This record gives sequence, structure tokens and C-alpha cells, in this order.
Amino acid sequence: MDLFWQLVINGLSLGSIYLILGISWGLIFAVTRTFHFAHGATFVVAAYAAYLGQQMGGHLILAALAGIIGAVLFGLAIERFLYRYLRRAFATPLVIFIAALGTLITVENFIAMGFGTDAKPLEGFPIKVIKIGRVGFNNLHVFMFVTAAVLLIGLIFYLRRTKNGKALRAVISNPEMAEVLGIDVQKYFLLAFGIGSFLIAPAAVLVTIERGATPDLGHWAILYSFMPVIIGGIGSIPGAALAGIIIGLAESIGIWKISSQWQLGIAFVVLVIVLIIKPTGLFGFRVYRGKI
Amino acid sequence: MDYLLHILIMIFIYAILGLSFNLILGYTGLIAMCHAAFFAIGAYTSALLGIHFGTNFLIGILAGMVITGMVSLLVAIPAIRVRDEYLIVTTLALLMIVYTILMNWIDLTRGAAGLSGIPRPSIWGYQISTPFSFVPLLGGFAILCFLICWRIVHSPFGRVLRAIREDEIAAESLGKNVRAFKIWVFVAGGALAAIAGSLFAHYMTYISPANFTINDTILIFAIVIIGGVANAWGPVLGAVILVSVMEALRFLEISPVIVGFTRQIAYGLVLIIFMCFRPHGFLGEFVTAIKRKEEKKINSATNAEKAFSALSQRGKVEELFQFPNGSAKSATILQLAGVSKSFGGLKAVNQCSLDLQTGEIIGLIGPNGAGKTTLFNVITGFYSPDEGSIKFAGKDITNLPAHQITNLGIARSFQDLRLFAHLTVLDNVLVARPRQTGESLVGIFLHFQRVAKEEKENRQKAMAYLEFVGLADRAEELAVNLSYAEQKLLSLARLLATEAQLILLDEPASGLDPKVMEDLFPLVKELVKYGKTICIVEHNMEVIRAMVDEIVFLNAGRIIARGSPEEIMKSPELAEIYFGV
Repeated sequence: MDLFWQLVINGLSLGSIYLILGISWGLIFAVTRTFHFAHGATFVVAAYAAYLGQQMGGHLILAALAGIIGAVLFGLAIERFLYRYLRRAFATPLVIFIAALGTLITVENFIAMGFGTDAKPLEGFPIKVIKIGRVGFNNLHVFMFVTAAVLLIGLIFYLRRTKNGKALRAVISNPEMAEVLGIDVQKYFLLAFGIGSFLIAPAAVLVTIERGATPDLGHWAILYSFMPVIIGGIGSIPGAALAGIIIGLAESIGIWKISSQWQLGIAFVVLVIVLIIKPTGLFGFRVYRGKI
Repeated sequence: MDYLLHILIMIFIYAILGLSFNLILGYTGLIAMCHAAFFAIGAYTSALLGIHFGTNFLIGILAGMVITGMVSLLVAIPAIRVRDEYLIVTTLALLMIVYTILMNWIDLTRGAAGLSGIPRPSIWGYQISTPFSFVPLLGGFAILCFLICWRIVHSPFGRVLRAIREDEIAAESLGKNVRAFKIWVFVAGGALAAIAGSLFAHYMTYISPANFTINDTILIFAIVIIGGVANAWGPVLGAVILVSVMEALRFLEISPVIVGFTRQIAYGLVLIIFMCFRPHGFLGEFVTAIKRKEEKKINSATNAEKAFSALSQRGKVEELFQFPNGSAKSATILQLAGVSKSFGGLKAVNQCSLDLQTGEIIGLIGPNGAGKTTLFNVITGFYSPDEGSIKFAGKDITNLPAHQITNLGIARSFQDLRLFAHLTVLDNVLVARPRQTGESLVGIFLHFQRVAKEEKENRQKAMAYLEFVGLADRAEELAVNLSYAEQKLLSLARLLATEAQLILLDEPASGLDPKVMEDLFPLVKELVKYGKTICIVEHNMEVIRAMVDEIVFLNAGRIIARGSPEEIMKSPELAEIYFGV
């Protein structure tokens, strides 16, 4: 039984990372309908910006700040200079997707060229082991969970209570109508990219603290950004959050019986089961097969 | 010399990968990230069979195709069921899982160390081992794959794929099983990629997971994008360019590690730059337009005929709309019983019961938001009703999918037309033709003659429908280049080409100029003589008055009145509802 609780705690901390990835990408996708594959690049940029910040002598908190700033600037730049340009040229979703894919590959390999492919750690987190009975975990796990909870609650609060947040929700539910009502949709696309990129940075920093940053984390991050969104249901932030936790738990508890190398396989099985049983995702309210 | 032959062989292998991926990405518009995984499965299957059982490489290729086909089927079925973004996710996951298996199932795959000692292929006892003898073998396979892809995309099957890429709802409304088409093309693309994998394994004699990472998927993307999306020659050109560049980079005097990164950066930048400035690659889709010259001649012949007004073509009409048993008048063809459909709290259609008789023309009117279009969507299977039942020609169609309903004989037009914008006018109509043998992969490879014969007949029929609406001389134009009125006429021709008995027209008159309406609508009205039944949603009361036998008045999802145009239009209450107070 101790093992079970141990795995649950591991799963919650892992799930917290997936939660952050899911809500950050889910927000961008819901608002802009852009299949933002370059979100993985934002993740790597944040991780390496934080690493660089620390190498230049910054404290861990300053390094994390550098990561956040790097991510937000990168995300805004991609939207402003790439996606917006393509949308103006009436690019199809396919064209935008491929450009985003190109961005991810370019960024990952530039970073690999500059920093090498070995893991770059962030140091200075005061790790303490906490023991309850025979179940041991550390304060980093707790910190991940708390960070995820704060970001989720903050995002939901922002969307429901602030003027900009309400406008974002209007754009999510009906972009054409929002435009008719005088909402500057372009501006809110930019805002969504800003917030989404801001949200992913803490996940990048936490992962870097835990296991170090490598350039190929980009496509790992992007995969675990979509999965919660699809399992949770497109357009639903709480859905993505719940699905992130579910994937984390499933992967972690799965290790009980299966070797840890097959974690991804477990997530994939969860994904396929959800797609078969409830194709719209747990909280999905619409099946988008194009508007009829 | 051997080195140049090696480059040529690599071009063949990547051309096969590009060709197969072009089917999925270019023609159908499906985004799949797992092409490198298909490549890997083909390579490992064939290699393992060769190493452990000494199987002939041809059998290895077949086994690789079968296993890849099954894996792609497993991925495609749940993912394609809903929406295309799901496929990106599941295929990306598949790619990473296959890589994990290759790395970690040490007993089978020997992990990162890879498989070595894969036997060279032999044919009739003749061992193929020098690059010189590999060239004809791989060249032969590349040509075979090219021909297979050529056949697929230039067949009715390929036409449906392009239609799906342009507008899948419209394709569904014309009776095409969109999901099945997507799944089959995905499986076919995967199986062809497996051929490249097997050949690669037997040529290299050593494979490792490093050959099959996401970077290879990106390379295949780049091959298709650079060469030309949805162009049969595009992937060949792309493979020539990228493989040459890849090999040329080796001669630069930098460390191999840096070369690897540079290459990836180059691919990435190429993708971005092409998407920004030349999204269709070097060879766009429409380079193929040259081959259509011959058909132009047929058109100029019909041009003269077009000088007649559409009205003078009664004979043509009879030929197009023969109805086998014209006697069925007054049989109930469509029967709605208590049909309801809600969206959230809104009852868009509320307890509608309605009978349509064969040969009737019914006008469906009501204020905006009354549920007219929703009712169309429910009848044609795009929405399934929450309650009630729908019967067509005595058959319960309540929960049938849209494409089956169309094939039974109900077709509908769309307010926003939903033409296949980047297909020619003629292809738009051809897609709509029912029961084409050439729309199955089995058909196009086993029944050459039947497909050719049907295609010829369908072309004639399609041209006749275009003449009927007066668009015959625009047959080779892309639909997107037509004026709005012409597009409207094309959507009507496409609808009629389905040969459906019950035709649902959603605002056919809006956007047409009065002259065209005067010419066309009497003809449409005549269709009932040939056993058609027509239901029209229209706001133009002139058109309604001129066309319909009876009006059904819909308000807030309910049918509140039914009667002759005179009765309905006289009623002050209805006028009040219709025009508002």
C-alpha cells in the first residue's frame, strides 16, 4: 500500500507538469484555433533562458524569471511575425501547422548546436525529503503541485473575472461574433499567446530543476501539451487540467506493473480509450467537424 | 562511382517515402507525424524475418506492408473518427512509441545497437550486393510506387480525396464515406512507406533506431513540401534535392555532429520559408493542367450548343433525369414523426411531423432562426435527432450517417455552397456521381476497364449537367474562379448529379440575377415530372410563389401551418410572425 501512495504522489507531481502544459496550449488553441506546434519550442526556450540566467550568476528565482521572459517574448514573436503573417496570406491550417513544425525543429537544433545535447541542470533548489510513514517525497513535488494549482486557479479567475479574460472567452466561443461586437480579435490572439507562453515557462523551469534541460524536450513537451487537451475536451480549461492529472497518475501507477520506459505507451492507451468511448473528450461539448 | 550510385539509391528510397506521404498529406490533407515509424516497422519486420528465418526479401516486404497496414489501421480508426487534429496527436505518440520499442525491446530489436547482418536481397538465386545491381531493383520499386500513386490520385478515388481535403462536409453530403476514404489512404500510404523501409534495411544491411526518429518524419515532410504538395512528381523532385543536399553537406569540413544539427535547421527553415512564400512547393498542384488540353476540345464543341438558352434543351433534360417508374406519384416519400433537435437549452427543431409526397414541391419558410436549415441537417443525417423518427421511401433513416442517406436518395445544397474550391468545375460534378467502381482501391487496381468505361460515361453525364445549368464552357476552370452566381449554378449541377430523388435546396435563389432565375427555375420545377421531390428553403417570396405546390411554415422549431401559397400568404398572423411586428 505504501508503494501505491508513493506512486500516487509521484503521479500527482508528474500530472502537475502535464496540467500546466495542457492549460497553456489549450488556451492558445481554444482562442486562436492555431495548432501551435512551436509551443514545444517555447518550452525549450524557457528552459535554456533559465539555465543561461543561472550561468550568468543569477539566483534561481532570477533564472526562473529569465525563463518566463524568454518564453513570453518568444511566444509573442511567433504569433506576431509568423502566424499573423500566414493568416493574412489566407494560409490553411495545414500551412500554419507545417510552419510551426519547422519552427520547433529549427529552435531545437539551434539550441543543440549552442549548448550541446547533454542535460543542463538548474541548481539551487533547496530539496528536502518529506516522509509520512514510509512514503517519502520531496518538497519539489509539493512545489510542482502548488505551482500548477496556483496557475490553474489564476487562469480561471482571469478568464472569469477580468475584462480581458471575458473578451478571451468571447473569442473562444465565437470569433466572428466577437469581431462584430468590436473586439479586436488580433489583439486577443496576441494576448492568448502571451498568457499561454507565460504559463508554460514554470513547467519548463520545474522540469529543468528536476531532470535538466535537453533540446529534444521540445517535442516531448508538445506531445504532452496536446494529450491533456484532447483527453479533456477541446475548449475546456478544467478538462485539460483534470486530464493532465489523470495522465500523470496513470503513467505513475502503471510503473507498478510495467517498466518505466513504457510510460508514453500508458498515456497513449488512455488517449485511445477516451477517443473511443467519448470522442469529444471528458468535458468536450462540441465535435468540431467544421461548421455545417 | 559507387558513391554516386549510393546517392541515387537513397533518392529512390526517399522518393518512395515522399510519394506515399504525399497521398496522405498532399492529396487528402491529413497531418500525420508517424511516417518514419511506418518506415521503421517495414525495415525491422523485413530485417528480422531475414535474419532469423532467412526469408526472401520479397516476402519480407509483404510482411512489412501487412504489419504496417495493421498498425496504421489501429491508429487511424480512433483518431480519424472525430477530427483531424486528433490524428496529429496519435501519430506523434505512435512515432515516439515505436522509437521507444526499438530502443527498449532489446531481445527483439537489440536496442540502440541496432540490427546488423541483414541479408542482401536475392532474386532467383542471384544475390544482389553491389550498388550497381541495387540500382535497377530499387529503381524498379520506386517506379512501381510512383505508378501506384499515380493511379490512385488520377482515379475517382483520388478525386474524392481532393474533395475531402477541400470540404469534407460537402464530400459527405455527396454520399462519400469520408472516414473510410481517410482511413484507407492512411493505410495505403503506410504500407507503401513500409516498402521503402524493407528496401532500406536490405540495402544498408544495418539499421538502428537512430534511422527512424522524428527528424526523419521532418525530412519526409520537407521532401513533399519542397517538391510540390499534391503533385505526382513533387516528391521525386523533393527527394532529388534533399538527398543531394544532405550528401553534399558531408563534404563540408565540420564535425558530423554539427552537420546533423545544421541539416535539421536547414529542414526547419526550409519548411518555414516555403510555407511563407511558396506553400505549394516548387511544383504546385496545377502544373498538371497541361494534360487537360484534350478535354478543352470537347468543350469548344459544346460551346456552340451553349448559345441556346438552357430552356431549349428539354431533350437533354429528359435524357438526364430518366425516372424508371414515373408512376410513383403521390406515394409518401419522406415521413418525419415527432422529430426534435436541441442545442443546449435551445430547441431548434421541436416535434416536427411532416409528410412529403413523391413529385411535390414544398417550400419551407419561416423567420430567421426558425430551424429550417437545422431541419435539413437532421433529415440529411448531419445531426441526429434527439427524438422522433425519419422514414425515407419506407426505410427508417433516423440514425444513418449522412453519406448513406445521400446514397439512398436524399441530397441537399448548402447556403454557403461548399464547393470544392480547388477542383475544376467538371471534377466538382464528377465527384457527385453515385456508385463509382473507381472509388475503391480494389476497384482501381482490379477493374481497369470497368473504371475507364464508367469514367467516360460519368464525364459525359457531368458535362450534360453542366450544360443544363449553362456552365459547360467553364468545365476546366477551378471552382474558386467562378463568379458567385456561377458557383451557385455549379452547386445545383453537383446536387443533381447525385441522382437523388429527394432534393433539399437551401436558399437557391439568393445571389442569382432575375434573368438566370427565370431561365432556370422552370426547369427545376420540371424535374418533378421525372420523379423528383423538392423541398426549398427560400426567403424570396416570388420564387416560392412561382415554384411550390405547398408551403410549410416553421416558427421557433415548430411547424405551425401548412397549405397552398395563397392560403399561407393571406394569413395575417403568419405575416406578422414572418415580418415581425
